[in-house]
Parts: sequence; C-alpha cells; structure tokens
Amino acid sequence: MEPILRVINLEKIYPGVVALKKVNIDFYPGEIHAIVGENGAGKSTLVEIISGSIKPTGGKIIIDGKEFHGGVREALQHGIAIVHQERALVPSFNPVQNIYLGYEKGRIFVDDNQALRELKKLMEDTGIHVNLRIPVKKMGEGEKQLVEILRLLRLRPKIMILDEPTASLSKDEIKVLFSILRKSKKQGVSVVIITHHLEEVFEIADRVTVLRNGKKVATKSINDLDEDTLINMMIEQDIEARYPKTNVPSSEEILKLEKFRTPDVYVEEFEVHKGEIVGLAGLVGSGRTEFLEALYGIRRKLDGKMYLFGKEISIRSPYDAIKKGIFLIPEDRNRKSLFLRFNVRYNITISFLHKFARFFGLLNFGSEKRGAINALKLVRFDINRLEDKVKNLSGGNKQKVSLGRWLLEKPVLYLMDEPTQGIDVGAKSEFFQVMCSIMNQFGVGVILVSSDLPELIAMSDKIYVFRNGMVVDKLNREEFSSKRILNSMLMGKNQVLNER
Amino acid sequence: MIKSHRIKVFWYALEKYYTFFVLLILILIFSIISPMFLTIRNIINVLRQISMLTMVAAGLTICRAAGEMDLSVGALAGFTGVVVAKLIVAGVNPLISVLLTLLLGITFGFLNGILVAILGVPSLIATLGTLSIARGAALTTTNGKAIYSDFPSGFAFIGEGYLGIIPFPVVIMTIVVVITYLLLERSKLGRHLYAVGENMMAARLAGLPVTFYRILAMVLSSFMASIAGIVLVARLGSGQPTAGGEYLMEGLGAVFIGMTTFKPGQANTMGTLTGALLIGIIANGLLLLGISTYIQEIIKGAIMIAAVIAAVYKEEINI
Ligand SMILES: Nc1ncnc2c1ncn2[C@@H]1O[C@H](COP(=O)(O)OP(=O)(O)OP(=O)(O)O)[C@@H](O)[C@H]1O
Ligand SMILES: [Mg+2]
Repeated sequence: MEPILRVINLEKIYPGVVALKKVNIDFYPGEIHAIVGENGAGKSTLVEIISGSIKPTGGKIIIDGKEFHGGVREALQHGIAIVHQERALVPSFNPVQNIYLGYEKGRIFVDDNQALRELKKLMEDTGIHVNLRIPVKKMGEGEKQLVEILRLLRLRPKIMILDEPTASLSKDEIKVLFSILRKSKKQGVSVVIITHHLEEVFEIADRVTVLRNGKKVATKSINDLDEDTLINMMIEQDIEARYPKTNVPSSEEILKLEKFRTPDVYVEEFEVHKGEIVGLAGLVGSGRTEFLEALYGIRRKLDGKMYLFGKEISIRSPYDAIKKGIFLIPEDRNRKSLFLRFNVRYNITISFLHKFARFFGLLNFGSEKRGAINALKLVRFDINRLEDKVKNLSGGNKQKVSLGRWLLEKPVLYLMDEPTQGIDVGAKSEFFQVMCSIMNQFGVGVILVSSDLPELIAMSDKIYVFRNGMVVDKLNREEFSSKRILNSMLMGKNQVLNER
Repeated sequence: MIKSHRIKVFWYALEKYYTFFVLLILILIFSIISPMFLTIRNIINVLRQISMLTMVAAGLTICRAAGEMDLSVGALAGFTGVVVAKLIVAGVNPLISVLLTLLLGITFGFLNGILVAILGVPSLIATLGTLSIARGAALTTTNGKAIYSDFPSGFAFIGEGYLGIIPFPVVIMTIVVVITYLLLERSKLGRHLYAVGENMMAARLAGLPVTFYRILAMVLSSFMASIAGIVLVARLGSGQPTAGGEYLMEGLGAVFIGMTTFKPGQANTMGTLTGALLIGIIANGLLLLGISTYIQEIIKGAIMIAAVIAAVYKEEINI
C-alpha cells in the first residue's frame, strides 16, 4: 500500500535547541500510528509541522505523492486536521462558534442555528456530548478537549492528528474517543496519536514511532513490542518503578472538614493525615477541581468547618492558603499557573520571592537562581534552560515548571490537580519519588486529583469518589478496585451497594 | 560554526536594541547636519525638555507592567499644577503645599485603583472618565484662567534651579528613573507587578495580592504625574489649567516605543527612557533644522509608528 503521508529528513532547529533531526516516517491510510517519547522529544513539533502551523528548517513532507509546503489552510485543504496539545479555542465563544470558526454557516449573516443542528447530529453519531450553550471558558479541561475533538471530527479529515488528546479526558470519554478512532480507521483515515499513557498505545495503535531527543529511534508494529521494550526505547536510564510509593501515612491529622459546602460541592466529612495521599476520583465536572479551589480560597465557602491541625481556620484567598502552607498545583497550567512570556526562573520563584529579597525588597539574583535550580533538579528539568521563556518549552516541560514552583518551600498540604498530566513515564516516576520523599521528610499530606485511574490506585492511601459535587464513596487502600471506583463515579454509591 | 554563532549574537543584539540603535543613528545624523546639536548646552536642554515627560512615562511604565492603562496622567499633571500654585498663592508654606499636592495625587490614583481593581471597571474606561474629572476640576479651581504669581525662590528652584550645570528637573527625572528601574527590574514588588500584568489569574493562584498591586500601580502612576505637574508649574512660573495634556500622548508614545527594546514586548524602564529620549531628540533636532512645529508633529507620529512596526515584526506586543 502507498503511504498517504511521508515525512522525509524532517528537521527543526530553534536557536540553541534541535527539536527534530532528520526524521523519516511513513503514515498509511487505515492505520493508527502512535508517537511516543519523553517530554521535549519533538513529538509536538513533528505534528505541528505536518499540520502546517510550524515551518521546518529542513526536509520534505509528501502528501498523496505531492509535496506539501506548509500553512494551516493548505494542510486543511489536503485533509489534515489536528487537535493541538495546548487548547486553541476562543474563550468567550461557545462550542458552536468555536467549532465553526472560519466555517460559519449562512450567506451574509452567521446562522448558528444551522450549525447547531449539524453539531447535534454529529454528537449523536459520535457519542461525544458537550454543553453547546456556554462559553468554553466556563468549561473544565476535559469538556474543552471534547470540543476540540468535535471540531476535528467535523472537518472529516483524511489524516487525523491528536496531540495528547486523552490527557484531560475521563476513562469513559477515552473509550468513546477510541471507538471513534477505530471507526475512522476502518473508513481509511490515517490516525496519528501522541500519548504518554502506554496502556493506551497498546490498546489502540497499529504501529508506534519512538522519538528521543529529536531523533527517531524506530517505528515498530505494535505486535513486536511490549511495555518494557517500549520504555527502554523511550528513555536512556532505567526507571525503578512506574509508581514508586514510599510515603508512610501516620495517624496525626492535618486537615479535617465537617459539612463543608460551596456552591458546587458538598463534603460531609474529610480527613488528611500526615504523610497520607488522599486520591479524588470522579468524572470530569464531578466537582473535584472546585473542591480543591475552595480549599485554596478561590471559591466561596458557604458553610461548614475546616480544621488545620485541630484548629479551626478560614481561608479567604490563595495568599492565606500559602501562608498556612497549603499549596495548589492547578490544572490548566497555561491559564492558572504559568507566566508564558517570563523565563523559567521567574516562574519558579514568583510565589516565594521574599526568600531572595534583601533590603528594600531588592532581589539577590544569585540566590534566586540557586533556589530555582534546586527546585528544578527535583523535577528533572534541564537547568540549561533556566533563562528560556516558558512559552518555548514543550507541554510536559511546562508542567514541570508549574510543579517546580511548589517545591521551593516546605508545605503542610499539597492540593494537586492532575499534576502528572502530559509528563513522560520517567519524569512521572521521578516526580512521585520526590513527592513521597518530601512527604516523609516533612510530614506533608497530599490531596491528589487524577483522571488516570491506575495512577490514582497505585499512589493513594484512600480514595474519595466524587459525583455531581458529592462524595459518593470512600475506599481504604485494601478496598481499592477499579471496578468499584468506576461504578461509583458513574452511578453513585447506592447502586454499587445494591449490586454487591 | 563559531563565526555563524557570532553573527547570530550580533543579529540578536540588533533586534533587541534596535530602537536604541535608531536613537544613536538619529543623534549621528542630527549632529552631522547641525553643529549646534551635540553641544553640552543643547544636550542639557533636551534632557530638561523631556524631564517631565519622562516622569509621567515612568509612572505609565509601572501601570503598563501591571497590565493597566492610565489615560488620566496628563490631566492630573495639569490639575495638581494648579492646585500647588493656588495653595502657594494663598500663602501656604511651599513645602507643605507640595506635600499636600502629592497627597492629592496619591488619593486620585487610589480612586483610579478602586475603580479598576475593586469595582472592576476596565482601566482604559475608568481613567478616561477620571481624565475628564481632573480636567474639569482644574478648570473649576481656576475659573479657567491661569494663576500667575511670583513663587517663592525655594519653590521656583524645583523648576529653574541647577545642581552644578544640571537643571534640577533633570535631577528629579534621574531619581524617578532610577527608582522606577530598581522597583521594576530588581525588586520583588516589580516582579509581582509584571506577574499581575502577564497573567492575573495565575498571579492570584500563586498567592499574590493582586488587588493591592493593581491599586498600587494606579497610585504610582498618579504619583509620578503629580510630581511632573508640580515641576511643570515651578518651571512655567504659573499654574495653567490646560497644561500637561500632551504628556499623555507623548508619555504613552515613550512607553510603547520602549516596549520594542531592552525587554521586547514588555513595558520597561530603560526602554521608556529610550523612547522619551527619542521623542525629545526628534523635536529638538527638527527645531534646530528649522522645521515648523506642525510638520514636527507629523514626523514624530511617523517615527513612532516606524519604530514599533520594526519591533512588532519580531515580538508580539499586546496592548
Ligand atoms: N518556539 C520554540 N523556541 C525554542 N525551542 C522550542 C520552541 N518550541 C519548542 N521548542 C523545543 O523543542 C523541543 C521539542 O519540543 P516538543 O514540544 O516537540 O516536545 P514534545 O515531544 O511534544 O514534548 P511533551 O511530551 O512535553 O509535549 C523542546 O526542547 C522544546 O523546548
Ligand atoms: Mg508535546
């Protein structure tokens, strides 16, 4: 069979960084091709070039036997469409306006109703459902991702590229997405997917290309691979365990909530102990993010009591929370955490500049730099890039910067919202190792929100399951089972109890 | 390899300091055409002419760093000018008059800050309103007429005195620029202000007191405009209710030109100083060449746009 898309000797050099080096890959119609590799390996760069939004510095792209010279419009005309790793939606537009941006219905006046009808049909056909009437800025990350996927599907591309589409989706949504991808594949579409979740690679891909430091390591059929071989191809060092859990929970209580109520969430009782990882499971929109943000003082608390080390406290702003040692690592790093046009050092130290200030608040840049480097080493970030602007980093490296800020000071309680989203296998393992050692050393507690169920089960000491803003189930480590958690997430506790 | 690296570094420097080079080239051209241009006297003259503009622009730089806009600076300079003149004419001790006027400026900035940071009115709109209020207040206080008087020599010194050969307004300007530079580039406060301007939501989640910083930015901007207003009156020897109006346009011009250099894309002190110098030198050079002030306006506008186009080509500038 003829390849539909050929990448020949592709090269992309940024000042000081080689993002891609002489990469050759063939993509065939009717195949699902996974691209894997560590953070910064060049995956996004590769697919951005294919989809026309970045210009290569060398090499060729052949589509259907004809050379492709770049440009987003041109790529779309060739039938190439992409879901970018970073959101590309207009925040104040609703999904209809976003999905039809540039393809508005109507001759003179925009006819959103026609678009709406089409879109409803598309949602029926695909099984992806989103609220079409609210602006996307009011949506959670998962729902935004679904909007992006709908936009891609509406274009009916011949070559479909998805850059970490599953990073913020729930298990169920991933299932739906994968069935759509399989269907598209049967219709002869060539699907390219990037993911850090190896189980997904084995579930969906026909062939896999591994990139490392901008170079292609190999392209293999999935049948010739197992998980260990794949990991070894991706990273240079060995990792000890994918989920190193070394924290030791104690019985000393850090945080306790009683009848805690916000406009979105109600939690009857909740406890975190020293050295304990409390996992929060739930679907997208189940209120986990809202819960963390309320603890951090961004969302209003209506009612209920909050105790820190047995003393009743009230937190009205992130400033309060940080002073008490409660740190939030938010989801949606670009909007809620990073200063994209600042360099890495600025981003790391921004919350704790007082540590590096001398008289009159003048900063000691030397000690600031040392502080930033120490934090970055903990997340395995390349310290040569300390002065680079954050917007030039790969997605996963951005996430490391977002994490690194909160390693500068010793906390009492970490609130982590999807902290490992977009981070590669090696760095993830390293991150958990660091987290556990900080926990043990300083008796820190962690509340961990993760949509990656295996990760949540591997790392947590107990799990609360959220559904529609309520805790519907609570499991201790010995009771963990993904079946029970999934059931509670989807249907609530009572049904589960009946079933048992 | 090494050679190409050097060339790259050179291009990089050229890009980053492009506007600064434009300034140097202009100086070169003017000094070739007019022998008067590069004399100590003329240089000091230029510095004195831009001193008040630079003070206003320094305040605007802080404001822009925090992501806000302040359109009221020029009108406020006029208003504080007539207030200080009126106080002195009424027999209040000059030092007390100046302090009271600065307090008035700070209060004005605080009101701007409340409107913007607490009531949530976008700063562009809020300060468009307070611009009009300040202008109206100045006209009301003076009944629309200028306040003439022989100011006590201590007060007149602010505008007309010298320290050695350096005019006192230039001394004040230097102090303002140095403080602004230290504040924005070197201090924790400055870093926080930039963070608020870059991503307000992220700044809040990083634990910064965002509301406080936004108010502070508006206060500092008004404060510096008030200093300029006081110096202006001391220099003119009279309180003019409509004076200071041009500081808004020229001050913004200096800030925007400044955003093209040193820290491209961000309002920054050295850039703003470069911008103010550029504006001052163009005016002075054209004057020496005998070009009419009307044509000067046109050329000034064109040069400002040209400087920004060149820089925007490389770096995004968000306003
Ligand atoms: N505009 C840019 N300027 C400089 N370097 C860049 C720029 N864009 C990307 N890079 C660098 O190119 C390299 C490859 O980045 P890329 O985004 O392709 O990585 P990735 O494999 O997608 O990683 P991740 O898994 O973290 O998303 C990284 O080192 C990145 O920092
Ligand atoms: Mg990527």
